[in-house]
Amino acid sequence: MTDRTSSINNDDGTVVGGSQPIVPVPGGAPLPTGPTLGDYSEAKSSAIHSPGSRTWRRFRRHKLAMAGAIVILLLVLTAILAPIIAPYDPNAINLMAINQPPSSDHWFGTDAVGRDTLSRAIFGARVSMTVGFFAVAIYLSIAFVLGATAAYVGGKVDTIIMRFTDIIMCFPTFVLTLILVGFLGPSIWNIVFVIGIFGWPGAARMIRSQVLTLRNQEYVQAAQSIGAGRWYILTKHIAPNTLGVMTVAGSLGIAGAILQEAGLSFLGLGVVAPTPSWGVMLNDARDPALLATFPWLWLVPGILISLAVISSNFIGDGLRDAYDVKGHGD
Amino acid sequence: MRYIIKRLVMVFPMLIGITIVSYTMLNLAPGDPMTAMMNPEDMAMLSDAQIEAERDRLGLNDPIILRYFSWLREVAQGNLGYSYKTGRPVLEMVIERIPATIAIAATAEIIAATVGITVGIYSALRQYSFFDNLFTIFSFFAVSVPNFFFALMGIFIFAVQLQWLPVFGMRTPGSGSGLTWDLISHMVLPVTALALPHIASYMRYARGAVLDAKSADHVRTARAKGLAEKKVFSGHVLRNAMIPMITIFTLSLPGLIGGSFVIESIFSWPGIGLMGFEALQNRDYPLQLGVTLILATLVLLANLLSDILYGIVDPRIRYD
Repeated sequence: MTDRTSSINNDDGTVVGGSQPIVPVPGGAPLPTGPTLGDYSEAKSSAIHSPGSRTWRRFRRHKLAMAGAIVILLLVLTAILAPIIAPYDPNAINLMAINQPPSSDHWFGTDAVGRDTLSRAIFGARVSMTVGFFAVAIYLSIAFVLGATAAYVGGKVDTIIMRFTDIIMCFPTFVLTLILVGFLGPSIWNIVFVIGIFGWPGAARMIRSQVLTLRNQEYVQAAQSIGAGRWYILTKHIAPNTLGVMTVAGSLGIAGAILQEAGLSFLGLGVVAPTPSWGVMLNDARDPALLATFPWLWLVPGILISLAVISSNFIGDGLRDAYDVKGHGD
Repeated sequence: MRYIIKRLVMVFPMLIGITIVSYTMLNLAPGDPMTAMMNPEDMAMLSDAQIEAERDRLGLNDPIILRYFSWLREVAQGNLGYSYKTGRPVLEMVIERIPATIAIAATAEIIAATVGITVGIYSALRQYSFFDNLFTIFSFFAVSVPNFFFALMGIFIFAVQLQWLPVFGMRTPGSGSGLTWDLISHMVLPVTALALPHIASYMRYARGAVLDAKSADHVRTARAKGLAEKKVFSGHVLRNAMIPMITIFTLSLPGLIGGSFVIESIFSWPGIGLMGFEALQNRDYPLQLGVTLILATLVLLANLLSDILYGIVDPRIRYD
């Protein structure tokens, strides 16, 4: 997170990261011509970039991450607009058109009861995106509260929280998730909830080490020395600077959550059968006889899951480079 | 030595933590805990009054804290309860299934570590070369494509289309025991599907660790004093870069276990994963929790082992 090539926070002029407030040379880009002391206001708008815009420029240079961002954006749009763009009702049974290969009527063919694979795949995006985004929102909140408290309060509190994290990390999360979803009953919101409450340990560790680093930064010490309260420092100086770690952990987490939901549904323990989920579609087609004769039934959802997961992983990787985050999120 | 003792002492609170989480789950499970604690055959012989007395003896009428301790006492004596489905002790059933799971999980882990670390080192030594980029892309695919999709593709290509490999089970009936070609051919697909994501993580971390070690000060010093490049690499870069691999091993364990649930159920591989999966389908709660408790304890012990190994290979840890 600490950026050695000096960086200035525009709002209050405090130096972020770099040890000396020297002339900013953002991201190695050549300085714009002619920013002299005289036209400083001009220079401020063109030469000094806020940390946000600098990160965005670095992210944009990461081609795979941009491609990933576009794919995820398209999948989110697909999920939202599913009823409009899907050519058929995803659950409509049509016994006149069972097990059809891809054709102009059914681009990705139909399944054993004549449901349109493309429409089911489009509605499947809803399940994956919902689980991905909401589960991660839950566990990032838990991770932030625990990680920041551990690092900022320190001492015994830190030890207790981190030991608890270690304990949760010992459990095979996927198995715990399976069991708890079994108790609660398989609904999409139960899956979101369960993935959310077991997913946080990796992110909590990342946030903790980030806050530990931030706590010793000069600007935090400066704030302390002028008598700023703990809560003020935490919310004004520390929380905004964990954004990098949070977004990295978040996008990698979305990938993990989508994988988990697909795995649960594939085992028949996740989203229940008629609901079109990519995992359910794979489960419907896993019989070796179906596998061989109707490959579109499992290739389409399988490729979509892989695409969604790899895209969020690319985004995470791009953000990690852009924010210069150290460490890993698993 | 003090470090090792410190680590050993830490295990006990963590074991307690694991049992607390497991017990909470057990209490969330629907059904009467009594039926989970007793041999169902014995229970059928008892009258209602006797069952009530037994309930008192097992402490099931006590407040939850006391109940936890009496459950813990039973667990410490090796009573993980009885399976709803088969009526057999959970511990016995788990121990029976362990070898089959270890056969594929350990093979997958060894392959993943060997291939992943070798390729990772190769990539780091030729950073940004064609192969480095190729392997990086491959690693993204290997961690992103779900292992069950890999498994389905494997079945489709090698078992259904080419008919090279069998689809289900561990052995063809009547093919004999021990390490036979039949066993190996049954192992190829599940082991590959389990190993792929782990190959990728070993690869990425080995690459990163070698790159870090390459730019360390002591490596520059070694070069400056004129040491041969080969010796710099084997003595100074590689040895330091391999230490973090211990962590990757520990980190990969829970994933390996989660993966074995999915993979064993696809290939009907008779291991703990398949048993756990069937326990979930049958709502056999005592078996589910017994499996989880044992697996979590195994992961904890593996963690401990890796911490101790870390302390032995990396002296810096001991001065924390």
